[in-house]
Amino acid sequence: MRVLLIEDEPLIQKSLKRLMEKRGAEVTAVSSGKEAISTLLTQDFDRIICDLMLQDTTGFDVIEESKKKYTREDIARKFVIITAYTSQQVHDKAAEYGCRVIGKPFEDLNMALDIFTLKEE
Amino acid sequence: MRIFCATELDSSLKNKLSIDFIKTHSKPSRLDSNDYWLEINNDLFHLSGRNKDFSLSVNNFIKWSQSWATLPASQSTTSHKLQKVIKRFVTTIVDAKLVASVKNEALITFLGREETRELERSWRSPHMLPRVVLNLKEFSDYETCQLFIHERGRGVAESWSCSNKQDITFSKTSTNNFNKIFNYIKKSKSKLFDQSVSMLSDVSVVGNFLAKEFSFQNHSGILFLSRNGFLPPGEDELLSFNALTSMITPFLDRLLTQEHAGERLNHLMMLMESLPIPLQVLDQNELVIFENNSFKSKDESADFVMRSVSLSSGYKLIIHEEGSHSFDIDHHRRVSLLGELLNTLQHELNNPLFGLNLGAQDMSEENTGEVAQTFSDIATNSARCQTIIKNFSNLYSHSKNNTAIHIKDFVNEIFILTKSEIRGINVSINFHNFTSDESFIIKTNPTTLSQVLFNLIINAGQAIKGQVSKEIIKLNQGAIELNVYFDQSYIDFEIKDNGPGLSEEFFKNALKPFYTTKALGTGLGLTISRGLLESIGSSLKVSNNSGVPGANFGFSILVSPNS
Repeated sequence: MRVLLIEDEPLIQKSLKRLMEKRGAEVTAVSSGKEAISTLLTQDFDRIICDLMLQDTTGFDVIEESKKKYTREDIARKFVIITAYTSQQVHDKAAEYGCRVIGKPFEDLNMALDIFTLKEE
Repeated sequence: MRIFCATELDSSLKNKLSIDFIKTHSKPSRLDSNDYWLEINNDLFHLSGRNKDFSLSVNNFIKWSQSWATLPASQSTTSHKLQKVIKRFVTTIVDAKLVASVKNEALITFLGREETRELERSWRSPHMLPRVVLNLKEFSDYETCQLFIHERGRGVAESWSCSNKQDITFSKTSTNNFNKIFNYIKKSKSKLFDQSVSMLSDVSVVGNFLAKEFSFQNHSGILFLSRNGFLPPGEDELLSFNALTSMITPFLDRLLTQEHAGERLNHLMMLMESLPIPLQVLDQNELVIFENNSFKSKDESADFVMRSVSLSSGYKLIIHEEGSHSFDIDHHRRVSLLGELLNTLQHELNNPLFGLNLGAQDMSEENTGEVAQTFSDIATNSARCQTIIKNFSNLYSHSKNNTAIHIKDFVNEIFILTKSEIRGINVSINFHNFTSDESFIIKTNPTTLSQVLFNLIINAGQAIKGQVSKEIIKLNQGAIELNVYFDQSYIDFEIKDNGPGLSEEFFKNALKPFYTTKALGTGLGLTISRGLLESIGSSLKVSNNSGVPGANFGFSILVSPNS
């Protein structure tokens, strides 16, 4: 199982990568929107975890770019948005793409990791 | 003034002196304040008085003795008569101006009805002095009179000049030039001048003239008087002029001060006129004597609170404040600013703290024993940091929405926020009449409720700390008790402390803005709490604990059923 982690806070990125790898996922981690888009378009992933506020762009822009490769259904199935800004607007926008939003900090780390590594029931 | 001398004076000299001259053999053992002992040594006149000794040349001695003649106490006939006239004139005008009586009999007797009217009309400002002087009978044959006035601190001096007993010409001169002229006049002993002095460029008199400088608290001035002729003024004229100036000095000072005050009053009136707060001024009989623009145009439908300020003059200033007070606006601004600040802080700290939390959890899983425990503690503490900053951020949020909250958790969170203020004080939190865990869930405005509780808890803590600093109680004897009562549709809160309790004065003033019992307080805490409670339809009840020291603050909030 391949996971793409788009997160610009180094400690979060590093820790999440390790925690998911311990659960058996193969994790590619990137820090910028630009890097994320080029990686997305050239490689295949089962799960894409995307931070909303990136240095160079937003997670929604990354999703827009991924439309070149993925169908609506792919996007809804693959993408999980993680963000500290859990406002109504963010939820509404995420609902348009049909993808999940998980607020940072995670209320339950294990539950979040299960979602990230496709192990939820 | 009396002069004692052992030698007889030359008779021609003696005639020029308008003073008492007494010949004695030796210096009197006791001299009055205006007595002098004179010794003549060649041409030098040495004078010794009670407090001072000095020597004068013959000419200066004559001038010196004449200067005495211009004083009101002098017996000199012509100048004395003139002084009396001017004094009466000045007094009547000052009285007429100050009392504002239109018909002053003394003035009318002195000047005649027409002239009195004219003077009352023209003497509204000190700048009319040149015309008034020229219109005085004693100075009727002079042609030009000019008054310079310099207000201290200003870059220009102003001048008013009258040449035909009618029109007054206004001009300006630089302060530098004014000072030059002023010092020149001041240094001159004779007070007789002619226009050969080149610096007098802004002086409009021609030929020989008389001049006198004035020095007041806020102003200095120079008065010029001239016939515009080339014959120097005679000694009589000098005497009259000196008499005039010495009489006019206090009067001019008074008029200038009045004018100065008048200008300030005008500025004040303009300020009051344009102030965007409705204002009224009432006199001693409660009659309205002033209303500003804002008052005249105030919105009648709006809710105004009247505040009365008594002025020392016996007048009253009435300020009409709109229902929402300015301190509420200040509070709102402060809260918005704090809210923004905390919001930014929360978002900036969120990511690094979350990183710390995740990293520590990861490391805790990979290790065992003490190391695992330490990482686990780091994870817990970083999560707590996030909670605290989030709660502070919520405390100052703009939210006006009613939200369902669990009152127990809610209250506990507020006590966490007040932790640093109440450290060391015993806290007990009691919930009464809550029937089930579900009944703890209420719907209210959490921001308002948390701000009020936060304020009241901090107040209680500060009251106790005040007692501790006075060594009345120990910190660990301090106690804050919060009771929360469930009463169907209401929740009652009661915050008790064992501080000093509240004085009678406090009950009179407690809810007034800016009233404070704390040295560093702003006096706004309770006002704001009251305002916040009013905004959710509640009110603050204040009392002292019965039997034991301490204060008791209470309020009730209506809770909508949580559906």
